[in-house]
Amino acid sequence: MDRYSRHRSLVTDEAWARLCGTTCVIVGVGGLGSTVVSLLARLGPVRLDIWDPGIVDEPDLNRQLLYGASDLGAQKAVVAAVGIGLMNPAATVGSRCQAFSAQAYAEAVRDDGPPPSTVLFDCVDNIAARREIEESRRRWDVPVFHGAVEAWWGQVATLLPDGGGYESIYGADWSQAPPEQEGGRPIMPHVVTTIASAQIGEFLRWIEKPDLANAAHSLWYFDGRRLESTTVRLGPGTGAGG
Amino acid sequence: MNGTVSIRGFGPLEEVVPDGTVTLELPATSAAIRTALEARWPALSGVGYSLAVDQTIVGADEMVTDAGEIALLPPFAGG
Repeated sequence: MDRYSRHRSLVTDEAWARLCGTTCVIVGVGGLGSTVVSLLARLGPVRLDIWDPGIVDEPDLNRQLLYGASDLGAQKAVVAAVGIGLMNPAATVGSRCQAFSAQAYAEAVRDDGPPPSTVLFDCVDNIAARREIEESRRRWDVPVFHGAVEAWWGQVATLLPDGGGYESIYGADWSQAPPEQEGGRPIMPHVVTTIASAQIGEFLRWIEKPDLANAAHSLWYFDGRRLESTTVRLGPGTGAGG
Repeated sequence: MNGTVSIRGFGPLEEVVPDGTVTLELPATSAAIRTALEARWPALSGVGYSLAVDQTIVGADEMVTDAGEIALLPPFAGG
């Protein structure tokens, strides 16, 4: 039996080819990123490019599923790459122990730009990194699968090249973005895995239909305490702030 | 004219703005609606949130002519 036999029949041949031919840039392999890369690696012989400057700290172990006690103090990007290699040796993994920035990414892809069919997964834990992702999204016209969490809640959105960007989520000039929190934000583990799984769900919808209008221009909110969710539409170029 | 609109705070804002209704004068800009909501619930002032009118996030100074439901959605940033 093929290792993908339990889900291969659920996607079209065209979608499968797109899955195998897409380069997935994972920005951050903390809580969201751990689950995102694990699910991607199990989906198929994917191409992953992992960016994370961090090391594994003890508070990470409540939700960052790639890591265990023996990984404390190790570089997340390195441990993640090793773990993915064990999960699926057919996956191609590049790991960079550095913070993602628009300039660093431009240098990484050099003059040719990103490989055809590149997507970014926003799995970061701060607004400054999202500003860098947004700059790259605009420069290279790549889709971004955005996820974010805090406490009992989280959100998911797909930002396509021809749609609105982060201003539709965080307000014009990022005016509605929450302030950074020293020592990290409180986060309930099941919310993290739910949001990361929803990012993969959005990615699969894009794989099936890259111009999917339904997934783009909408924001999915999840409440992990009430176990409720709601979807709202994002107007193109909406500045949510006031 | 004054209208009764369902109101909902999402996530941490559910404790600031309990599910219920609010009376608003419409049409109004989204900025005016924010001002009215923050006058009623002062704890909203200084908190970042998006305003969704009938499941659509409205822009910073967009005119709202009619509304059945308004949701207050604070964006999250952790990972």
